[in-house]
Amino acid sequence: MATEPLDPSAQLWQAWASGRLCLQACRACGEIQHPPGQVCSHCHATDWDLVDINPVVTLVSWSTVHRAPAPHFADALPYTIVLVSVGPRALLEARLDSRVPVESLVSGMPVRLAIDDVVGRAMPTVVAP
Amino acid sequence: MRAAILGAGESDRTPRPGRTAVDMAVESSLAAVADAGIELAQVDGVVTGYSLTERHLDFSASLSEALGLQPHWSQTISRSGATGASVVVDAALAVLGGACTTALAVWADNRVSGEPEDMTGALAASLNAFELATGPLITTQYALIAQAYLNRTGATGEDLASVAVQFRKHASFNEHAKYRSPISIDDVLESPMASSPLHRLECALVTDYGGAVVVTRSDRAGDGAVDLLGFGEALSHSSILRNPDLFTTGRTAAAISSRLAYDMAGIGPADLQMAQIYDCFTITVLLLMEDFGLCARGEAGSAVRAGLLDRQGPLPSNTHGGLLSCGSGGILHVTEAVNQMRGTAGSHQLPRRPQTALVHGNGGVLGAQTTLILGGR
Repeated sequence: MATEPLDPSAQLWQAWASGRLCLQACRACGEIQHPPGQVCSHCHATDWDLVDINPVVTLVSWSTVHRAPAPHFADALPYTIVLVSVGPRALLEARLDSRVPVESLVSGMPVRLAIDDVVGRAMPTVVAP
Repeated sequence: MRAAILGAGESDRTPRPGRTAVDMAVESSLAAVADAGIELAQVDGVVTGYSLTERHLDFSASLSEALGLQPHWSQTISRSGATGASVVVDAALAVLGGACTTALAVWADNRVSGEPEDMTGALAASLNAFELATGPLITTQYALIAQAYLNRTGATGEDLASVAVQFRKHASFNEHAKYRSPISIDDVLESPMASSPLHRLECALVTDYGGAVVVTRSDRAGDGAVDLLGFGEALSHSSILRNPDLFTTGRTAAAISSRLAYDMAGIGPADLQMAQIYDCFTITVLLLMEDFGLCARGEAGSAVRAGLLDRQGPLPSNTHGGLLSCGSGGILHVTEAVNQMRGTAGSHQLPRRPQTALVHGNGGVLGAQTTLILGGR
């Protein structure tokens, strides 16, 4: 019998790998917490779920990376990283799909998230404005 | 009762094979003790920062042993980039609290000579797995904050670049600065993009460094001392993903640390005659200036372009050239302030010795903030 990992980070990666667009939410206060943790930093409860999120989120900022932080990122250069708002105290860092022009980005605009592959890892990616 | 700084010392920063962080810590400590005019045997407290390249169970123990000291009080602290300013706070707390009477506050690292195999890994330790998986540089995390600043305020790339131009001008006066040739705004904007909107010339240098100051109680200090009139520390986050304020208002915990320091000192931003501001990236300086109350939100770039921070302006800042042009390690902002106030800055001494100064360290990605207010005698 497979044991379910207790580590909330491992569970989130696993859910994303199965194609589910979700984040950690506290069962006690409902706070969306990202990056996930064992304890809710808002109410300190230790009971949490992974909850599906609305794929339409608000764009906060972006930056196009021209130098790879590690060799396995070099092939995709330059690539754009975006921040989107996923809760009152939570931002998500994600790749921008290379087909979306950076020039089209406007702070505060709604953008659409979908699970996509980023250098061998499934994670939320901004796929369209 | 206040704490006072008796003297300051820096190590040579020229990289060479076998040069260790402890070597540079020893060299800076002995220089600071000599500058303070005391005997090494009077030192009964030692606080040091950490090394990214060498493993030490307790760096302060390695340094104390190398100096032949058996201090009453010793600590190694890690507050990332804010460490250089924070060792001074800790030394002050120790002498004021009675843990020791005379403390060395030191930070040194051989970030070039050490040639760590995994410096990328060491720096990546400051980001979490959910950030790292997208492929950001440390620069990218600051660049995201910079882009939001430009979007919100209407400031431009030229405003950011003007910070690098200003501190390079100051470095041109400093014979110990790494890069001394003056640069223009165009030079900055034409240097390779690291992570938009930040170009290579907007990012801190990586160099070897060592710096130290001697801290004691102000009633034990003589005429040449520099008083620590106030200090403040504040922490807002570890990951930028948990602090949306950075993107919506641009306000960092430096607004709190500086207010605490001003209140303790009983002065305000208008009373400052010099500032040494942690400048890991150009955006850092603009945000911190606004947090310090030196100008209105969104106006720091125009203030820099108008000469606010110039050697001959109202608030000479990063008079050594800063992290952008002189060398790594926020401890150099501390030693530079003390040297300018004691009139010992040599080739780049300001014409008029400043009587009040703000020194600031920033750590993490704008998470840990430490402000010192210094006063001359």
